[in-house]
Amino acid sequence: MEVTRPARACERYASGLGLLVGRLWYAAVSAGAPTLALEERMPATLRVFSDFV
Amino acid sequence: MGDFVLELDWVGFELEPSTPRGGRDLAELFGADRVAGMRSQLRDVAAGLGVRMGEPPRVPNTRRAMALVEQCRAVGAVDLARNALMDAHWVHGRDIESDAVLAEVAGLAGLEPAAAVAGCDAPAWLARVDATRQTAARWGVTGIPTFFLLPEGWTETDRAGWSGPQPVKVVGSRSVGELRAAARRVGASAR
Repeated sequence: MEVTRPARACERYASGLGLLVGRLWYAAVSAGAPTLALEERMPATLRVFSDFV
Repeated sequence: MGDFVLELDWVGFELEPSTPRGGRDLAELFGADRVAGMRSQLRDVAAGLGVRMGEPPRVPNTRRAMALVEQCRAVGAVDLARNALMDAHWVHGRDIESDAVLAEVAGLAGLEPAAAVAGCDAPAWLARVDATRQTAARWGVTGIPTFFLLPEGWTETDRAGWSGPQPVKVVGSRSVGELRAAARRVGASAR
């Protein structure tokens, strides 16, 4: 399984940091490819509802 | 088994639509001491990820930025617009309510800047923002980020959703079914 930068950022979020930190995921997305590679052929969309703040 | 790549579909959801134009001061919202602590945590986590972050002093009203994203979505540039607006706010500390920033992002997305800025106040584009909000309400979205995994050919009843940051063992699960189960284990509710 390949996990790209946004996913690693998600992992860090699990530490339960505060509101502002929760937004870091998006900065990570902007810094890397917004994809997650999994080990199964099952096309899917990860829809994210979010704000800029 | 071969790899497959999840497609990220970012949709705008105004977390605090009551935020006035001009935004709110972070210290006013959370208190200066708490903001200092949050920023310290943010700096640490960002540094650990190699992500450069600024320290925006205010929480802006994002409605017009959302309308710009919808215009960019129409030309296949939603990711570019999202990234540019995120960078403007979080990295460069710029005001994403301002016409100047909106025009700049529009130009990057290949839109005619003046027309796109005007579009940020146009009922037709704002209606798309509102439509997303209605979908979010129907799907139970109350916070950000809220994720939904939508398998190919999905209908609304197929969606598996969870709110808030999740560990990679959840996001990186090997199948939609496992993902649903893992999401439940960490307390994610069906949305």
